[in-house]
Amino acid sequence: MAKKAWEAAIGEPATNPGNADLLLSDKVSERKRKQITRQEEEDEAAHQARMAKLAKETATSEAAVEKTSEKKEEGGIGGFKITGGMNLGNIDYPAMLQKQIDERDDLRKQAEETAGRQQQISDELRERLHVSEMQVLKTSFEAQMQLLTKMIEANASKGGFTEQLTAAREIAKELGFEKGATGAGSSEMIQVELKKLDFEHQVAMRKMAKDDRAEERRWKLELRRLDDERTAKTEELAQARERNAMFAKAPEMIGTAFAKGLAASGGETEVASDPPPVRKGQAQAITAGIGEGGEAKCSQCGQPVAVGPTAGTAVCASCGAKYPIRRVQAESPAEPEEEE
Amino acid sequence: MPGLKKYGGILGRGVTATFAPSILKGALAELFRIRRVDTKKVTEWVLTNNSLWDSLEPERKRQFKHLASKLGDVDFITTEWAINSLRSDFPGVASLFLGWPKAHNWLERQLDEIKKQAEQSGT
Repeated sequence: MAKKAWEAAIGEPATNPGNADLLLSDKVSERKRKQITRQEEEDEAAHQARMAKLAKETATSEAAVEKTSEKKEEGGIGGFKITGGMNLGNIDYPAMLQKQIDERDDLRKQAEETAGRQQQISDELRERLHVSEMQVLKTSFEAQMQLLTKMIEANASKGGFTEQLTAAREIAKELGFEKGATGAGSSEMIQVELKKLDFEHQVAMRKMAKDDRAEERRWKLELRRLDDERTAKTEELAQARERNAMFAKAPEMIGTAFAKGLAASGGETEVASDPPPVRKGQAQAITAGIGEGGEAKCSQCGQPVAVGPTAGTAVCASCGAKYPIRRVQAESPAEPEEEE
Repeated sequence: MPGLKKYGGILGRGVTATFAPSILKGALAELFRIRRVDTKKVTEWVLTNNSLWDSLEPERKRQFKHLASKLGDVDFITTEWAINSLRSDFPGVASLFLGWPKAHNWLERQLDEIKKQAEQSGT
């Protein structure tokens, strides 16, 4: 019989049969099969029970239906008929109200009694707490006293209380905390206080100067605004005056226009003058930014030539010269320039 | 006698109506001068589609209507007439109307509106 590795590892004697593994797996398979068979039997039994129950319920329902049908046939008319009446009784509202008031009073009394009891309990608890706190304090004080006594007893060898007090005072003096010491210490304190006051004074002065400056700036701005408003009003008035003067001079103006028109037309009544002669030759292009407009100078007659923001051509109104417009990406908002 | 014939024609049509284009030309140029109209301002008007008629004061509108009722026919008010009227005094503005189609169309709309108002006053 061959000894298996795990048997050798645990030092067990090789008492198992040679086909122990096979036997084990067969047993396991057998057990599982039995379990499955048992489960199937149980399921089958449950199913049978359910079916039997269902059949019973069906039979009961059918019997009930048949019974109802028979009743309906006996009655001749289908449906139900409800007969009889119902007494709602008399309601005594004053009695109900009185009852409710009594109940409310009872509840109030109960609440008051409960509150009184609670108050009493609370007082008692507070008293007990107070007593307890007093005891704690007393115990703590006693402990501290005892500790102090022990310390005094322990320090008795280091000199008396007066000596220790003197030493402590000397240390305090060196640190500059001795009370009642006059001279350098107090003088320094005064100096510090003075410096502090001086600093506060400076801060206040600085703040005041700052406020003054802000106020002055605001005042200047206000003055400037008023000045601008005055200028704008003056201009507006001047324009209005000019406009009024123009319309006051309307007859005169019409006369002037009339005379001008006559002079221009040489006495002819048609004022539509001939379009200006178109100059021959290639006109130079005008360079302008995309969407930019403005004015350039006509290279042929020197008159201004306007460039529309979306125009492709500029035409001189005086000499009729045409200028193609070259659009470039504008780098800076400059006036359109005439190309040389 | 060609001179006499000419003056006869003038009198036949009515003096005011005969010289209406000249009168309105002078008035238009003067209005532009008073309002300090330049290329920039006209460009703004065009871009914002500003109505010239609406921008006139009520008093001026009344005066214009009164004048228009005296002038009679206002068919001579065209974009060409307006550009020619501005050519000598406002060459830049006239150039803008000539070279920029959008401005030309805007001017046409304004003149139509003004003519409509003038015709309403005449009827």
